[in-house]
Amino acid sequence: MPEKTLINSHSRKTSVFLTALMAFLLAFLILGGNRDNPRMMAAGAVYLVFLTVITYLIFRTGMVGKYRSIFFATYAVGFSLSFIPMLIETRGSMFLSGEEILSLSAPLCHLTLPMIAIPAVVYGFLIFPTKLFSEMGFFPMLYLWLGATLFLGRGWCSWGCFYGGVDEFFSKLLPKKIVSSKNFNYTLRFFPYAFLLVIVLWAFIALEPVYCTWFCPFKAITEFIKPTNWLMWVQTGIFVSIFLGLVVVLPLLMKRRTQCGLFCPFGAFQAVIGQVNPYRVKIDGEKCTKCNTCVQQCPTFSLTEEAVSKGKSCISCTRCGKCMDVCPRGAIQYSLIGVPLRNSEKGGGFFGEVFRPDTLFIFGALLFGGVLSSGMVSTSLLRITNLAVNGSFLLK
Amino acid sequence: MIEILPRALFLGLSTGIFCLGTCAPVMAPFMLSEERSAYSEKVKPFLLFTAGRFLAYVLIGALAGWTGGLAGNALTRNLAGISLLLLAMLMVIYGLTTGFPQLRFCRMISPYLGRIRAPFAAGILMGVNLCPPFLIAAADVFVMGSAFNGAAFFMVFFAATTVFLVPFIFLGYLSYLPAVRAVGRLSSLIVGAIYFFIGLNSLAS
Ligand code: SF4
Ligand code: SF4
Repeated sequence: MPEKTLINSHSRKTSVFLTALMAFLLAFLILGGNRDNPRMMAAGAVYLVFLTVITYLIFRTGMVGKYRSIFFATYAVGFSLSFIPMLIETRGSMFLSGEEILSLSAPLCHLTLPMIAIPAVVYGFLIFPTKLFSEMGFFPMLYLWLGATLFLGRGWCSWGCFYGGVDEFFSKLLPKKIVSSKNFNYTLRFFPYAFLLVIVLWAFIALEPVYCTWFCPFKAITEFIKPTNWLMWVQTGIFVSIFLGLVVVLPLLMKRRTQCGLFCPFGAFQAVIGQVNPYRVKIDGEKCTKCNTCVQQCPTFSLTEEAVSKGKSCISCTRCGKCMDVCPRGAIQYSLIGVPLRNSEKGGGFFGEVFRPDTLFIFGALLFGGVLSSGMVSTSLLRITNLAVNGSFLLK
Repeated sequence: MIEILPRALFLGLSTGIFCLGTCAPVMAPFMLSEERSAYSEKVKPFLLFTAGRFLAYVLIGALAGWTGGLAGNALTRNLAGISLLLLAMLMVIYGLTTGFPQLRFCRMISPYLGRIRAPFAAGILMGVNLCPPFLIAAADVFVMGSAFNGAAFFMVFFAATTVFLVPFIFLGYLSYLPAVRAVGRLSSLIVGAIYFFIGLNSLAS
């Protein structure tokens, strides 16, 4: 049965053009960097085909939420399958060693940025054991974040963050939700902002990246310090519980991204700072019948009845496209500040479609996410092949 | 006596940024959580908190100057631990009563909380909780051997460090936004949970 025409769908001609353009740019950016490594080049080519298919499906069908989700979950799986074996190859385990901390060579991730900013400005040093200019050090991460903020705003959390895909992955595993969120207390969606406020202040007092030390659930799939005393066991217990509860179990049961929507302080930070990005998700009040289907389905709790009546998503919106997929009236759409809402699925000819706000946002977001994920997914493909051929995930 | 006061002033000004960091997690929820329209209402939590802190400083200053020490390390640690536990409970109760007033527990406890003036109580508990700048100041006072000098030293120290807290008054202006109030209330709960753990840890060690 053909899928219904959606607000983000494009004509075949436009979809083919956009897909070809995307494939060309991705080929240049992904394959160009691997010219002297044939195996990585081959894995990159496989991933390029995958991204090309996803691009076509998104533009042609308009099911942004559905096909983006496949891309995003693949990215997260690829990240885990490449990062953990890489740690085991280089240091024999997932434990962060004392030498690495002393030599400032722990890889920095974006989640730490809000915490390290104030101490860096006030005291002039980083409270995280990383180098300023190394490959996974401070400045590369800062530039990545700046780029993500300008291009995606909080769309980072549905198109770029290698952690966000993990709870997206679990939220997609079961066909139906087991726990309904009908009686969900929407006050809880302010928790990440409160948590952000507290950890930023706490990190400033303690001069340590307290979120990493105590709470970050993604240490469970990256690296952590080996517990050697009871306090470290408590810290380990906390982050493992948060991972199991908010990244695995609740997304499975509720089919929502509970970690990203109700916990992640970086998500809150990005929601606020990301307002500099000009894209928004708006609701056409004339089409909307206030059925609240979108409120029930938004993975990050970014739509409330109040937001729907105001005609826009909350600032925590990750631009995932799910609400647009499920809205029976096609009333929700990507918009650009200052550009009036469209009132039809038909985009006004080839150029009209190419320069629509949704086209521009999706194209940029997919290109950004595609390039960022390519190394991780390609390496994971190599590891899977190695597992099939040599019986090991490890390449060395 | 007069010669010790510039030293208290200098110490307060040079370590005040720590005071800002230490008091901010407690002060911010009080400034953000409740909608207040009049200016006097907006600054009220700040003034109450500051008054509580002032009272604690003067008392501890006098005590430290008089006894020539904070009566031994174990006692100070225990005092800090107990004050943190009480502060934690206060923050949790404040967060619950402002954020979830419909709960039966909150309906019961609200009148009492109003009577003890939560920001004032928090100021006292924060004041007796020995943060690094406070301990440096206390070390100076130990050698004075006079309750009066100790209290005077701490009053000046208090005034100098309070300068750093003044920007918090402006946070009160954000509380007209419902989202900001929700953030303030939830942060009160989070701070309470964290301080509870730190308090327990400090008592246990
Ligand atoms: S909310 Fe946090 S973990 Fe989730 S996608 Fe955003 S930054 Fe990543
Ligand atoms: S409002 Fe729509 S686009 Fe935004 S996060 Fe929710 S479902 Fe996704």
